[in-house]
This record gives sequence, C-alpha cells and structure tokens, in this order.
Amino acid sequence: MDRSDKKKAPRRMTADATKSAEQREGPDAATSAPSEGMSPALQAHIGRQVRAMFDEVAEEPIPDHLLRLLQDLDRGGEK
Amino acid sequence: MAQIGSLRGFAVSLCGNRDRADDLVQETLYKAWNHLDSFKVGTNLKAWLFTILRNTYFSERRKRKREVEDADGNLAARLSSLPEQHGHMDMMDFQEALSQLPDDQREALILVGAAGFSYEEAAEISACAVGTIKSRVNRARNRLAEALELDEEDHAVRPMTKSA
Repeated sequence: MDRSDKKKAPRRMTADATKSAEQREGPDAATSAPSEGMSPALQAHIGRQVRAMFDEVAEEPIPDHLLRLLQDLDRGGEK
Repeated sequence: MAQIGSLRGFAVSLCGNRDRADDLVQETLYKAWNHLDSFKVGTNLKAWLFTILRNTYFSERRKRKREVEDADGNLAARLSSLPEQHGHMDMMDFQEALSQLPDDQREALILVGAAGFSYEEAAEISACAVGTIKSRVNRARNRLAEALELDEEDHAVRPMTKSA
C-alpha cells in the first residue's frame, strides 16, 4: 500500500477541499488528514477501533464455500 | 487470494451480517471473474474488487428497498453478535455507534481507516470527489466521538464542533 499517495492529495483539484486539514499531518498514517477540531489521540483511538473491527473479520479463515468458489473459478469457472 | 479477507471485512461493514456479507463476496467474485477482460493488468486489483462489491451491494439494496428498512433496525443487533474479545464492552459500543453512522460516512471511514486505501482510491471506489471522502471521514469520526461521548476525560482535549 503506497501511503505516499495521501500526501499528494492536497494538490488535487477538488470542489470542496478542506484547506485547513491539509496543513497538518496526523501521527497515524492510516488515519491521516486529521479531523478538524479533533485531537490526534482521539483520532488515533477511533482509528484503532475501526481497524480492530475490520481486522476481526478480515483475518478470519476464509469460509469453505468461498475457497471452493475460488477453486472452481480457477479451474475454468462457470458462466 | 489475500484480498478476500479484506473484501469480507468491507462487506460486513456494509451489510452488518456475515452471511449476507459472504453472499455479497461470492457474487463479487463471480462478477469479477466474468469481467476480467475489463480489468487492466497493473492497475489496482483490490480497489477494482471493492468497487464491484460496493456496486453490487447498492444495486441489490435498491431492488430490496423494503428489506433494508428492517435490516437497518437489526444492524446493531447483528454487529453485536460478533465474537467477544478483550475489551469487548468498548467494542460493542463502538460497533453500535459505527452501525448508526450514515452509510456514506461509515463506508468512507472503513475504506480509508481500515481497508488501507488512499483518499484518491476511496474516492474512485465510492464514485465521488476526494474532498467528499475527506469530509465524510471527518464527519464519521466526529459523530463516533460524540456518540461514544469520548471527551477530554478519556483523551486529550477535544473542542466540540457540532457537524451535521
């Protein structure tokens, strides 16, 4: 994942870019472009919670029926 | 395929229910496979898969409008049935608060904060402007902090800015 893409974001033309947010960098790369008026610590806390919830599902073993589907698709799939 | 875990995570954040999420992932894989010719090698496979999943979810929702109203009511209950772990009380409140966010805000927060996409990638997946993603993420964070009543007692001083 190329995190440097985030640093390019301020240079993009967008209709409603929030200029003040672009002047600061959050301490946590995954939650950068800080929320206005929110402390970095709080933002990091929320970021951790969001990631924890997401990872909980993402890191589960993949259900058998999905694995089988992948195998079927690999073997020539069905239309 | 390592992408599948992430796809499942995203799907669960959209549907709130693992079974429906897995159905969604399954459909996404079928569609991706059948449209491989439209995928350009060297571009972002993960973003492409996420886009298909998202579009599939929303087009099915449009078809099943009445079902969705019921589903939203049960969303918090379904999310709270996820397995417990250390600090689960925190997690439960957080899951509920997350499920109560407007869809576009929750989606933006998940794409950028959890699935590891850049703002540009998230904007492409959600078919909106980069600035829109940023403001959705900001609003999502603010609403979560409000809903969980996280304030200076728990964390560093946070000036309250009420956002719609």
